[in-house]
Amino acid sequence: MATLFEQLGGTGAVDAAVDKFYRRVLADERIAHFFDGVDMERQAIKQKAFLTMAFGGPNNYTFLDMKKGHAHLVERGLDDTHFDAVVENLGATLAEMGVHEDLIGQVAAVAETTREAVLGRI
Amino acid sequence: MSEFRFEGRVVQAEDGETVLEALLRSDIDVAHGCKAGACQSCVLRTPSPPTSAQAGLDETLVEAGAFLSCLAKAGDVSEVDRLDPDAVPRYPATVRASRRLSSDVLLIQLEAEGFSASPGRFVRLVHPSGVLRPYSLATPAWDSSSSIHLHVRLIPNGRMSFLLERIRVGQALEVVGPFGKCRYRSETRSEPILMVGSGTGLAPLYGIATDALHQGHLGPIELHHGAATGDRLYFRQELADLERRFPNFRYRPYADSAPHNTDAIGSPLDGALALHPKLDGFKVYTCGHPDLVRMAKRKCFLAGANLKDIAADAFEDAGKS
Repeated sequence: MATLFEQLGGTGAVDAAVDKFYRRVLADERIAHFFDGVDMERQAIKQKAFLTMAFGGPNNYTFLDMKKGHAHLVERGLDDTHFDAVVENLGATLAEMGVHEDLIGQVAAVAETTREAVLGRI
Repeated sequence: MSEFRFEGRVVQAEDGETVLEALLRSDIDVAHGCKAGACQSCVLRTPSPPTSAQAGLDETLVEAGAFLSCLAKAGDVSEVDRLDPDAVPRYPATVRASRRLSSDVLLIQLEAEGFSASPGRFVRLVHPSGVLRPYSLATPAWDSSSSIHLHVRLIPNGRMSFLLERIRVGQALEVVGPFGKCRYRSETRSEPILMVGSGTGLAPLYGIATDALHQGHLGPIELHHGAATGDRLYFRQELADLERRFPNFRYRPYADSAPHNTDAIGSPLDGALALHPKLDGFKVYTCGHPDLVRMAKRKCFLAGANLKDIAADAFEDAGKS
């Protein structure tokens, strides 16, 4: 039985998704302002790490990393609505890439596991 | 078990361990973060690093033997050091010529034996007094590789400006570098290239344009250059010459005010995007004032250019458009 990461196409799928996902996020008025003034190359590297994790790929991120990494955004008002928007963009990216609905659901479920940590509630 | 030397000290590694894991287990303090190749905080140096451990690193770092210690297996390295920030080549250089390009831009031509770099990358110019500043390489690609052309923006009361304004032919300087990854890079030679810049951001853009044309780039190349006023749009003659020599090259000047006859009024970025609202498949180069470069990267990306196809260099002193 292939893992979720393998079914999605592994690192190649992550590479193909990064620009599409990041472009959607930046174009989304609900969340774009959180990315003002960030270095785009660095941000793309983070997006890639996030996608690898959400795709069920190898990563060493801990809940503590995620909490620390987003604390400054939580201070600026990051909440559930923004988290939902990111998950929505993630789903739309995968749909654009022709990924099957079942797999999109699985990716969304992986992303969902980080919600409490990202929003600093654990 | 395997072993490698870190700053001369022998480090024992267990089977399958990464370089970073072995160092941390040996109580050697090395900066690190994600341990997954993403954050790039654990960069170290080794003579011939495994390329798989160099993903995403800056070209200059790659050339210096940098690698991500969290990705490299300890068994694949023998001598490891921290990355020495000074481990970059330095060349003695001599001033060959200098002339005004506009009221606030100076062209300096140097000769530095042994130097070679793609136009568009940048060097640090060091004056014997110790004053140093970064400048992009505006050297036309058809010049000899040891020749260096720099566009120096003269800043009121600037120390380097003061020194370079008075520089004489024959003066000895030092050049450190090259750095950066802003340079012509093309897989197919047929894709369209869009260049957007302000002030002395023209220096790397001009250098890259000549490099592309010299290498026989076939796709269209458009250079949108902005400055505060028409008479600060320097290098018009050189760019017109380039247009005449190469039918696929186009130069479009913009001035905020006091335009000369054919100059558009406004921002070179807005002008470029009005002509090309969709940038899928474009190579984008943007250099100049940080505000312009930041906006250009974002807007060109949103217009469809891939992030890896956007090369940028921002400099505070470039001059606003």
